[in-house]
Amino acid sequence: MFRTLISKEIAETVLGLRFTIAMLLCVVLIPLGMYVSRKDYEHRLAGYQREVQTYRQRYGTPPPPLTGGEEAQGFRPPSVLSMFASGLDPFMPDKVFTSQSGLFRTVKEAGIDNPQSLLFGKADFLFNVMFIISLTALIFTFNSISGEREKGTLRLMIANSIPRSQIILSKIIGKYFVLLVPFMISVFIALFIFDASPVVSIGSPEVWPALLIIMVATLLFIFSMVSLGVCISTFTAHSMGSIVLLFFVWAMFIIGVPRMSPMIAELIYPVESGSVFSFRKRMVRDDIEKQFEQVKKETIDSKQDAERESLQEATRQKLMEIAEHERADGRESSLKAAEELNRKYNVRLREIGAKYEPQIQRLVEECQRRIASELNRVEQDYRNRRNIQFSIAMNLARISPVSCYAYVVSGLSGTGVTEPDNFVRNARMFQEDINQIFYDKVFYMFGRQRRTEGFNASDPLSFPDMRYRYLNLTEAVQMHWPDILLLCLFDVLFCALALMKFNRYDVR
Amino acid sequence: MLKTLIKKEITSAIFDLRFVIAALLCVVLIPLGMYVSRKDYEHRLSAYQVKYQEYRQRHGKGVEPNTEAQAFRPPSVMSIFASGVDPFMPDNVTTARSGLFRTTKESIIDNPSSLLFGKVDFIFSVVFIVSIAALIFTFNSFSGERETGTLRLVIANSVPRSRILLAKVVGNYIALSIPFIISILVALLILDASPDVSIISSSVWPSLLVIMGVTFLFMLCIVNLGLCISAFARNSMDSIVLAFFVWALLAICIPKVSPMVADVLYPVKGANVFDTNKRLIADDIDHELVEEREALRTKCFEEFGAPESDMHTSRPWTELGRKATAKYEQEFAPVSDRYQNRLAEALRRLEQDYRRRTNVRSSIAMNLSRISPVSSYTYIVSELSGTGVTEPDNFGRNAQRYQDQVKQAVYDKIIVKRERYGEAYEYPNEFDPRDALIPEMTYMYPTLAQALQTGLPDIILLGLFTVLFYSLAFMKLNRYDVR
Repeated sequence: MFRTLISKEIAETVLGLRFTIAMLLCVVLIPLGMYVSRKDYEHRLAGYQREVQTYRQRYGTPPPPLTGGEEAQGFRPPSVLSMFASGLDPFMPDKVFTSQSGLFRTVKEAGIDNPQSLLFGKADFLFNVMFIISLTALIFTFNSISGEREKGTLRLMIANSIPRSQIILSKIIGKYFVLLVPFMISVFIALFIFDASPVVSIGSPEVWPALLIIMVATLLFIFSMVSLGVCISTFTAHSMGSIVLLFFVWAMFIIGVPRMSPMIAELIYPVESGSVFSFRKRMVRDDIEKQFEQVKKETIDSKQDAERESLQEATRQKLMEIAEHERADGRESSLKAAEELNRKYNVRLREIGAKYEPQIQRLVEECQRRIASELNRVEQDYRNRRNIQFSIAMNLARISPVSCYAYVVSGLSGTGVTEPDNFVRNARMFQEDINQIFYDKVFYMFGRQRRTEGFNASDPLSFPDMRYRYLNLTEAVQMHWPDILLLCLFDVLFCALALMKFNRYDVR
Repeated sequence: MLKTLIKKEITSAIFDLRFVIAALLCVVLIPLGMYVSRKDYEHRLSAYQVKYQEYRQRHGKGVEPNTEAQAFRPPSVMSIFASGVDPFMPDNVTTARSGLFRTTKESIIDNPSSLLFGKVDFIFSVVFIVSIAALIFTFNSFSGERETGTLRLVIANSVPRSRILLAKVVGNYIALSIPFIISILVALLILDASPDVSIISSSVWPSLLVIMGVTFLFMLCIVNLGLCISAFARNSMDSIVLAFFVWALLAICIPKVSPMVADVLYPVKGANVFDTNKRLIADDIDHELVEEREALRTKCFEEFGAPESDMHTSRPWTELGRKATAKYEQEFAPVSDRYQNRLAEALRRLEQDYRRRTNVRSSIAMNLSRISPVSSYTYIVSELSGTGVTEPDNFGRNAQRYQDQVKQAVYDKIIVKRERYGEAYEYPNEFDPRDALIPEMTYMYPTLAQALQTGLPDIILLGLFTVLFYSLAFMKLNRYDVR
């Protein structure tokens, strides 16, 4: 019986206009989106390779003598799976400059190639599933119960001795299978296009496991959308009402909840923006520097100045004595004496400078340490606050299955919400590598001048490439298993709601 | 009679569930989106001001030989309405003595979640929410009446069919406008409450007025489209599916697909390939220059019979060598200048070619996407907001202007003397490098007149689409047979 019900459901949907349209949309949009994303990825990859190569040729091996001012550059390779979800990729920095101070900076290329496509956004796989497939799923199902109720066929069916749970399950499963047909066809075409690219292959170990999980998540998501549609259908009396309700729910899930939740999180837990924060960091640094300047003036500079002045005074007196004795000693010898005096004065001056040099050095070092620890503290604080806001936003957005799905797919594609932090981690690691290889070997000579040892023309320094590490599959899954779980829960929830409502349906 | 018909349409639309839902969506989404865009604008503005002030304080005064003047792009006020390409635009230009300025972009990601899902600015709300609402309002106005049989009754009366259609258009349009206008008023109140923005300022209200006008035209267009779909479909089930299909096509497919199609039709190599080409040409010309230089040096040295050992030292040991070097330097100056000119000319030609090709591709993409009224609407509103497709070029123009300005005020004042060991710098007498001010950039967004000029075809197209959909619906309705 159950089988008959399902096959009836399938036959009915396949022969409808909706199926044709869904087929058309899927088969056109998903492969086309994949083709464009693939092209885009190839562009980005070529750009990355070219940049790395140019960098290697021009700056990778800086010619000695090295001063410590050399900056090693690291580049972020595009993630292969960003073809499926471009996510944050267009906003991510793609270059990191290390520096001797230990503060690396990140840069983003600002060339706008194709303003039209930026204006309208990309139609990648994630977008197609989120917008087109979800809407199709709802359009497939919105009148499955309410339509039959209107026509009166529901009465007839319920009057038979079929359990209601079977009716509703057959509807969900039937619609789900029908929807999967155009989806699967278009995904196969898309994967074919994906595999036709010379630079990627589906069989590679970094692609297929993640791709498998993305597909599983997508199937779960489509199921949740189908059961949501059936659920809406049971809640409304006629199909007109259900189409309107569907529109509302769809807009809320796709647009309302995911886009509003960051704003609501900002209202609940406001955190200053990055630019204000960097301004505050600079203020902190300036304040500490000013303090130390004051301390230096009071303790070291005053003593040094006093000593210098007394030296100057003594020298001047001696000079006057020489001048007085000039007539007696003769011009030649007094000139010699003056020269001797001058030499002594210079030596003495240098001695005074050298005497205070270590103290100043110590003070400067202490100042640097204070600044570093203070900045670290401020940054930690800021990061904590931002993380709290961020997790509020994320958890709020999880009310909608659409955002759970977007989190999973973009996370697995290496373009998710945690990627900016991952970039910073990678950049820090790169900075540490370069520190070990190069910056730690820079030392000071004569105060300001910097020299490096051990790097000469015969053994030039070659900066290593940055090994950018995207989150691997286990890490990504670990990060996003709540989302996958939530997707399953949504499936169950919508089915249960539909069943509950349908069980209470009264024929009268 | 027309009045009665319109009234009937309005009441039937207002007492429906659809109206409640549309009102709810509009009133929640549009003001909230406006609030968020406003906050975002305030953030961007304060970031700009902080950067700008700090730069002026530190580097605003005083010229050094290696000064590189920087300028920042202020955010456009109207970007609150349409963020457009703004998130991708560079916001910093660094001039250079060589004339090749650089543009950079801050890469701090404040709020990854909101970037992942995109913004809900005004234009997004209109394109996605209001347009669907308009279709949902109208999709069964004919097909539904046909199903219930009331269309027969209406047509059997002595009302011209054009009146019936007009009444449906006007009635649904007014019913849709009510929640929209309410939410716009709330949104504008929210906007005006910002300390940084005022609606009545001369940079805001004229553009705002035009944007509103265009938005109303767009809504009329979509209402007509809905009626047209309804007239073509047999029953309301078909018309909803058709409406969904057409909506997906117009709002998503055509705008997103047309740049790709243009790319396939007229492929242009990416900006980085162009950069590489530039570098290759520069390297080639450099190479030629080096060859000619060496030939010249050898010639000069042979002419004087100077020893070869002097040829590659910067400080010749013999008298002859010194003479030869002097002659060589004298003769080399025009050669060097010639190569500089050649390089500049080659780069200019390459750049022009690249720009021409991208322009062709861009106009193909634009004209293709204009099949859909949604893209026309997006083009005008983003153009009026200073975040349209022409803005990257405008940024380039502004940057070039600033570069010229700085060149005139600063770089031309630095006289570079090439000496044997590096370079020496001199300044003209009346120029005091310590007191010299670095010029500021006055970033010019396109004025309203310019934006309108660019957007005029789109406005006309929107009007044409409206007329087209209306006449299609009318044609189909006239041919409707009661039997």
